[in-house]
Amino acid sequence: MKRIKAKIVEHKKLAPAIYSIWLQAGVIAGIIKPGQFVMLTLDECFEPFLARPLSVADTNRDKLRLIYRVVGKGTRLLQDKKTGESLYVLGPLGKPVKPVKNKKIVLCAGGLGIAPLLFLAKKLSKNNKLTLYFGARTKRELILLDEFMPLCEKISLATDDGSQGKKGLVTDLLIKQLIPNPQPPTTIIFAAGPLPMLQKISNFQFPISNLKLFGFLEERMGCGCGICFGCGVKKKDNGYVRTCTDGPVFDLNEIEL
Amino acid sequence: MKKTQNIKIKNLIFKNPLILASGTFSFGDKFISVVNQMGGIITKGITLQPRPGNPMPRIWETASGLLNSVGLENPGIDAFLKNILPGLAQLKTNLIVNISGNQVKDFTALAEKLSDADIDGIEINVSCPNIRETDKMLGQDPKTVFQVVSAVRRKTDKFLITKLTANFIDPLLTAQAAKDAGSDAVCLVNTLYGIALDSNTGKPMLGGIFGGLSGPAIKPFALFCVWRVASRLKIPIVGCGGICSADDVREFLHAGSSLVQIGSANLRNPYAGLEILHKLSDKNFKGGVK
Repeated sequence: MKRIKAKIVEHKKLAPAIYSIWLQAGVIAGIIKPGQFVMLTLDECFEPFLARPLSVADTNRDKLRLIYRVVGKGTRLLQDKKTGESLYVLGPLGKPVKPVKNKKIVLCAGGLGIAPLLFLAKKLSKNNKLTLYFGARTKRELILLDEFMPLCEKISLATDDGSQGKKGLVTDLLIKQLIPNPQPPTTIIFAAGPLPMLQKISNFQFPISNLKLFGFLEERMGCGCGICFGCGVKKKDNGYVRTCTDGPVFDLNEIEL
Repeated sequence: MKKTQNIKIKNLIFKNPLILASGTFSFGDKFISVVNQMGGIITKGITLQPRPGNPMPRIWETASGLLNSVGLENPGIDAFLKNILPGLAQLKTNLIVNISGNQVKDFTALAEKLSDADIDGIEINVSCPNIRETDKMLGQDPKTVFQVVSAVRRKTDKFLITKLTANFIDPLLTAQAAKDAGSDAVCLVNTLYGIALDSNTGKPMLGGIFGGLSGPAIKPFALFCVWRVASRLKIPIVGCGGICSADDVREFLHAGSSLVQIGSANLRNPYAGLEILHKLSDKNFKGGVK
């Protein structure tokens, strides 16, 4: 794990309030794997005080790509950062997704959950068959589709307002399409998105044998690196595990959402 | 880097004044290279029985700081001694174990179990805002502080720091009680009570409803507490509260601290202690409020 000063090499708007940022992140970019994340700090002043956890959307040699939505103080300040300016990056953090081969991979993204799934899809597409289910509020927020096209056999879309794809929730689409077409016994669903989406997927009894279900969790974090005990997630058997060091990707059969 | 001067309190030597605060650096089992360069590390609070901790969310960022309601999540003293402490034997710094409880006899039992352990000291935590079993913090009453510290002192001759609160109590009174009971130093101050609410619904933002406020937001208050006690009572003080820079450390030393704890800054950047150490030099440092 390292903490480095990383220069912004590209910063562009993908949709209203949604941005993509490429950072020169040296060794972190070189070793980070899908499922892992970084903590960003903007500068030397202490407001906002805490670093911000962001999942990784892609890497290219020593460059790291992050995608974020402007939601509060931290991301508003991040939005103002220009190419050539620097940020502090702590990483790689969390556990990587274990690489798999010859599996039927189903990616289910809600909103900005699409970002970590792009990094995962790029790694898994060589040795597995990928399907993407992607839901967003509106057509303009269905970002990164051109990058998923060459990686996935099939892409199903849903929007809250019906401006593209099926009107409604992506989980309904996933559940509906997976039921009548039982997959071979080696299906892995990777879901990333808002908590209600993960809860719905976690609670649904998919009529598929040997299904593995993994969720990318978003949790408010203090440190991101296992020293503050601030981001616990309840295990089904007993006690808490940490989102930052035991996750953020969890087997949804093992945790309570 | 200029070498900082050793600080000796009782029989314990600190190679520099920086200590990693309890609850902000796990048990000393992570970022070992940082831990080893500090003057000391204080473990996450340990209780007699295991505690699962409070429900999520446990952290809420505030203006220049944060509220936490972690709730002393820890495996309990027996599991700590068996599973965690052996892994800390190689640390090249002072290892101080923070202990917490609901009543005097909890502290007696904890001190007894730690009396033969391979540790350099004990921090008696009578000031955690996240213990819900009792209505008041033990540290809000000088008599109780005296009883707790005396109970621990009877069981061990190890170096003792008493971590005090300033929540609705003058820390001068409790510092005096800790001193009278045989504490070797006092730490001022633990987090301040705080609550955050959703402006639309009025719902608390923390799973534990209220928590402890820390970070730069409380620094002037913590500095005042150190100054108040240091100017009236002769006892070594460990300053704590929003320290994020070498200048912050210097201010606490000027106010009368012998040592300081770095807490919330570790959450923002786990290398904060190291960065502060690199910028800190004791050259020409005289201390004391001018």
